[in-house]
Amino acid sequence: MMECREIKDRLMAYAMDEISEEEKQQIDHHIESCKGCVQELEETIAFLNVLNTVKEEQPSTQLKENFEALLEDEINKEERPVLRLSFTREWTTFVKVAASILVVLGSFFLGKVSNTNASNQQQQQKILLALLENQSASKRILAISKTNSYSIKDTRIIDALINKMFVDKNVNVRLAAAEALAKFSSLEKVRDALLKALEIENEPSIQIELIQILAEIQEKRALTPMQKLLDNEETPNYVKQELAYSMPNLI
Amino acid sequence: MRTILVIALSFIALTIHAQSKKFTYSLQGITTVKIDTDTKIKIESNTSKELSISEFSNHHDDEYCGSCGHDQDEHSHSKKLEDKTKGLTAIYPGGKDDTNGFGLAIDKEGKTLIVTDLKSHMQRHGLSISLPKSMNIVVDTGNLGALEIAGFTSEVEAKTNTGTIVMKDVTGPITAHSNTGNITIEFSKVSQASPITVSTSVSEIDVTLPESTKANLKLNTRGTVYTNFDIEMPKKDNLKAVRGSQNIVSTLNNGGVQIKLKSSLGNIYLRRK
Repeated sequence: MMECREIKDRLMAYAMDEISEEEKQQIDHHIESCKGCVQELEETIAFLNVLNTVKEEQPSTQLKENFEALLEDEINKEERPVLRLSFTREWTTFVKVAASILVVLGSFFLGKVSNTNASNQQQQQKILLALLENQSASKRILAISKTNSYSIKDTRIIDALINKMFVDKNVNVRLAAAEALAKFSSLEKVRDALLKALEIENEPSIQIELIQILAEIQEKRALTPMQKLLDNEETPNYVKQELAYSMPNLI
Repeated sequence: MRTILVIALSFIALTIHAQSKKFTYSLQGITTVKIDTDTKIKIESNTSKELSISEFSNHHDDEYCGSCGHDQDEHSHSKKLEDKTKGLTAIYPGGKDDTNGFGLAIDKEGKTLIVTDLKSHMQRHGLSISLPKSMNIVVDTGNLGALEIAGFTSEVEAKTNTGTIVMKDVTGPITAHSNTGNITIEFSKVSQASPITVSTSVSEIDVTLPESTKANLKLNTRGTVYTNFDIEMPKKDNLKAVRGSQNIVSTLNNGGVQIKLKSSLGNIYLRRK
């Protein structure tokens, strides 16, 4: 009996129907029980199909005649038999290497093509989300200004903006995030976040911005935190002025 | 002759004394210096590769704190303090003094150096800091501090509460915020790298730009905008003006980096140089 490894070596010849009947039977018997060989055989056949679709270069008939004449001469000179077996074996190894290279290149290009189309937007979103966490405040503001081109469907971007408005340590970044969110105020989630921000924000300039946004988007629920802010002794006078100005718009 | 010699010698001694009251720290491998304090700080650029810190000298104090109670006896006072603290070490709840008596903690976080003031504003009359020209700077002067900075080509991030912010000979990117302090910035050139944002709640913003600056301008205030740039005003559409707040969006020299100046109540002055 032949061993699995030997059979694998003969699969190419098997697929091309270039083996003896006895060998064929042995291989048939083996692949019934060996999944690895079945897979390899399938791949080999698939590869051969690819090769078959490639048009072969036809040498001129003259070349063939010349070659045959030469060959006859050579055969006459030396009556050595041609070792066909070892020849095919080398050839199959070569084809195998070529096949694996083809597979690697194929998957590489396939990956590249799918990246450029579907994932391009995702890639840009990823870059933007990373830029939002940049160490430089100016870069974070740059990222926020770029969210302008996104729509209310881009939840990851909107969530990131909400997060920036709440936790960024730089006042200007929080301010820019609040302004950017105003564009998405048709979302309930964004309105809730703006309300919550007004309740917890201590920085007067952001409080003023939030009051203006909430008045503009006619968020009536804002009246409660606004009244609280107005009653709070620590609220600066100019914020109270803003409140006194905006609250009548909501009533 | 002898008196002249004595005066000369004491002068030299004084200079040496003044020089010894200076702390330096190597900035090898550092790209950003972060400073947290509660006093007025003045940052100048140098050509070396180090951070150096000194306290404001006396006559500067007069100019700055005026009536805050420090008199000419300051010198003898500090001598007494030296005697009193002999063999003792100052301890602070905010961290360990890494600056040889200056009362500042120095920490490294990756490429960022963090300088934290451990002393209260009551004991400070200002710090003078010098940093390499291209060092990124992040300053927070707490509740009462103010900031003066000059000669940097790097990114500067500044925040004060009541103190003024004055920047001269800077290029940006700049991100500055003051609650109630005026902000004055004079650009020598404007970096196109990333946005410039200046905001204050109630105070005035005064920005000077070179004539050829390319920028996308956003000016937002309830006050008035004054400028000598030729700013094209967008055509009025049919929308009514919103509560008298001015929102001017325009470009300088066909557009460029985003420059946003925002004051909730104060005037904005945009000057051409």
